[in-house]
Amino acid sequence: MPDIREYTPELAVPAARLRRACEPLTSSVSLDDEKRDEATYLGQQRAVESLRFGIQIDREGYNVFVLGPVGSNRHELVQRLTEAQASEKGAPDDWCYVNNFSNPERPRALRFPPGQAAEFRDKMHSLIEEIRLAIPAVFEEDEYRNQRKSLEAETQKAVEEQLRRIEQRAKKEGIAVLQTPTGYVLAPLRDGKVIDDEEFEKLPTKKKKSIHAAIQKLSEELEARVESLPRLRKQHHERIRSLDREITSHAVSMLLEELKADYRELPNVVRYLDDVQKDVVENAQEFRQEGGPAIPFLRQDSSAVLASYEVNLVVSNESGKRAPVVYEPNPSYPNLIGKIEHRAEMGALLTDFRMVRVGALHQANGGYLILDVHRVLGRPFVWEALKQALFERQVRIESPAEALGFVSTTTLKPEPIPLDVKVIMIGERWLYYVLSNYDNEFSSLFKVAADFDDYLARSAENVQAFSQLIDHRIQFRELLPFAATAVAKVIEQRARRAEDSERLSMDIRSLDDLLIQSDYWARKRNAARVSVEDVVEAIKRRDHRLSRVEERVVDAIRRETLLIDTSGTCVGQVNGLAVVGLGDYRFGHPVRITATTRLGTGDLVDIEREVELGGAIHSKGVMILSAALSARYAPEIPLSLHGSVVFEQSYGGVDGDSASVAELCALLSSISGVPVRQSIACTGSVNQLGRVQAVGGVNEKIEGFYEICKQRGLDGSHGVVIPRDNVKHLMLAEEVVDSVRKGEFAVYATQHIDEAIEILTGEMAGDRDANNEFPEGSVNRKVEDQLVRYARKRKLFLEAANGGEQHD
Amino acid sequence: MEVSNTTDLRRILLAVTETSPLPALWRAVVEYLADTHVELITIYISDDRWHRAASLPFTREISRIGRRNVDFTPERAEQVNRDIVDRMRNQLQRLTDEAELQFVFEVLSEHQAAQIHDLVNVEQDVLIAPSILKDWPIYTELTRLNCPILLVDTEE
Repeated sequence: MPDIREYTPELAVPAARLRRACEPLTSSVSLDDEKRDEATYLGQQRAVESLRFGIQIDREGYNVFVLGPVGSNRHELVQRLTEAQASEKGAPDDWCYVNNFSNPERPRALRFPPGQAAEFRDKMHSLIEEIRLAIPAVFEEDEYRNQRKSLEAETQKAVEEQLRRIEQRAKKEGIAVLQTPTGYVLAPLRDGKVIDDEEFEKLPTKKKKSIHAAIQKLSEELEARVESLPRLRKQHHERIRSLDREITSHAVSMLLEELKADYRELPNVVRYLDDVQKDVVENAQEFRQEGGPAIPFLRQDSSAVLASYEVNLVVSNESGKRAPVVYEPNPSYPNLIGKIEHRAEMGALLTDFRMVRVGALHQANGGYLILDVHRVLGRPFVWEALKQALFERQVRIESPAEALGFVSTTTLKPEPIPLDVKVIMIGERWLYYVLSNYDNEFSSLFKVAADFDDYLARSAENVQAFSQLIDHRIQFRELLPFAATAVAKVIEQRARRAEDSERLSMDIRSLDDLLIQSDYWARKRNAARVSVEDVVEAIKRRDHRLSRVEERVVDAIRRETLLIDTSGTCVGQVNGLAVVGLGDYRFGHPVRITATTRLGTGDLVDIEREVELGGAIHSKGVMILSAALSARYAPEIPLSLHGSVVFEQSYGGVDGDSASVAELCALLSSISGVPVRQSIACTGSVNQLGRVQAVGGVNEKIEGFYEICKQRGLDGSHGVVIPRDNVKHLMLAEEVVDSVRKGEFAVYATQHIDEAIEILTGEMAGDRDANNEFPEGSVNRKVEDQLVRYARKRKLFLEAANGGEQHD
Repeated sequence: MEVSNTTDLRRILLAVTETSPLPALWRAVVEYLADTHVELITIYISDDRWHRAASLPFTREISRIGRRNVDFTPERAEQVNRDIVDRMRNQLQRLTDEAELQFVFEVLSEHQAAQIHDLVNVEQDVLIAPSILKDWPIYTELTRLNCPILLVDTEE
């Protein structure tokens, strides 16, 4: 078998293309605001432009959905842009909830210009204090006492007059009217003295009868007069109440007029103050009570009456400041919409307007509200409530149970507050697409999408700009300055993270992690500057912290628990390459792929799929192999093959089509009987025409096979076959690059399955000639010949089975 | 009005009746309270009209709140009398408490008039009584006492 590099020299990827290094970049220059903004918005011009549009357009439904991966610095950018826009808007109005005296279950919302609600609350507090002192004082005044005394005297006189008339008449009849504590007794008199029964018995019968008659008549008259007394008393109480109202009204109106004048521009506030005045007058008695009630639960405490004039300040803004920008990290229903709290009292749950608590929508009203989509969707009822508020353009505070009609008890229904808020929701792309597809109302409410890019093209200009972004992050995180070589190493790592030598990852979170960890190692050695060694140390240590599973896999291969050959040849056996993703860490390792073939009816069995360990993409890849075989080698004969392909010692799920080149090579080796080099591993997908296509994780895969080969000893025969389209993605570890440079290891880039088969077998694949035949001795010829043999044998079998009848 | 020289006053006898409003009498008492050593003896003179009225079989008590008339029995008369005495005693208790004064409360019915001599036997005493008492038979007994009598017009 000829030397592989000699046979296919043009396919070996030069060491220089295995990792695109970054030239050292000058950095650690303090950025001014403009430069910092540029750095912050780097690579996100589309998203920034969309955000600016969405934030500035003041139309219904133009809320913004920020799409982008976690770690793309969406929150910081959104916060920065909304705050910039908010500075151009003035502070919105303040809001208070106050008592609704005619219907306490529906607290009233009062609107004030910014900064005035707190002042109103304080003024109301002072007013009530003044009323509390003024009302008892006015009732202590002589004028009131005299008027009241006069009314009482009039009533008393009227009552006494009633009785006096009876007494006068009784006296004429010789009857006394005696008053007991509860009533009246009529008794006969003699010489001005009440007579007893003995004296009465001595009276003549006629006299007795006349006394009886007189007492009877007087009793009836007395009863009639007694029955008129309650009416007199009622009239008296009404007159007293009227007097009290007049006195209170006079006292209260003097105090309230000034306040009403202060708020004459706010008709709702003036109306509320009118109601306060009316209620104070109606409840003047409560202000006159000193101390608490004798039996607290039988009568309303006067402090509760005073509390009914308090002001529940729910939104307070400062005049002259900017519009609010609110980020609600926990958008639960109460945190977003608000809630009505209760207090336990005598075993019952009570509430009033003072216990109305507003949510983030109220706080952001007139400004911007930033929410995380997954949190909104993950909390019960929040998404529906948010949509309702945006549609109605008002926030209605009610419990979810009440909104759904599950609660029948009476509770508060605070007056809804008009809503004018721009909602900016931040989420991953798939959430945007799910909502777009499945929620009909979504597109009416979130008309602006700001799509954050994952990557930045690695042009010279962008690399320079990226170094400024790094500087910005260093300043933002208050890290040590980075050496130019360290910045270059960080940029290389960003390309590696992007799995693309021509792109840089815009995952700012992982960038910050690398910078912070590099800073840690620099400080650990008391350095004043972060060096390239610190960055390398940070990457190495991070990988080490996460590489336990990788080490176990490598160890299993070293101990031959997992069977991987890295030398020699074998028919129907190819080293494929797999990538394992463990959270934020990925590693590659070789996997033995074997194929067996025999005479059959054209079936190609994917064992992974048969046992339900293969994913849909993997199954698709294997089906493509079957089509590729038929189209290339048996276009005019029945494919009379039964083949099976399997990932050996694979006990978990397998997905993706990145092993389809390796699987096809294993099949071709099995059919042709040409052995495959075990020192070469292979990755790539293939289409029905034999074209090799790019796959993911190419760097990890190469490094995974390199690690095994290195442990067993590199001898120059080792290497990996990758799709040519993946060369641009190569950002291999420097150790691998050095090894290639030394000729110990190789990476081959292929575009067609024939190139892969030639590298793996060391034999010519062969192209069809003018007679449409593959060259004699080539791998393809051997494959075709074998398939023709299978077809003939199958035909013979079928003829024998059908009693010698001929078939085409 | 008959008043003695009060310089050597030792005791005040206050005669009260059911129908004599206390405030007016009390104002008269306060005028004599310059000397805190003065003793206050209150004599409640109850007439027997309740009992006499109650002894009549046809006497009814007409309720102030109407339609609840009941027979006025001797028991009811006794209760009414007792209530009146208690109310009077309580009023006096309040007034004397405010004046930080000890007082004795005695109840005499009209037919016990002679017993008043047992209470009033010192020349330095003064008797304060409502003017309406003048029309009562007991007034004859009062005039036989050795102390001056101050009659107070309680009609306001």
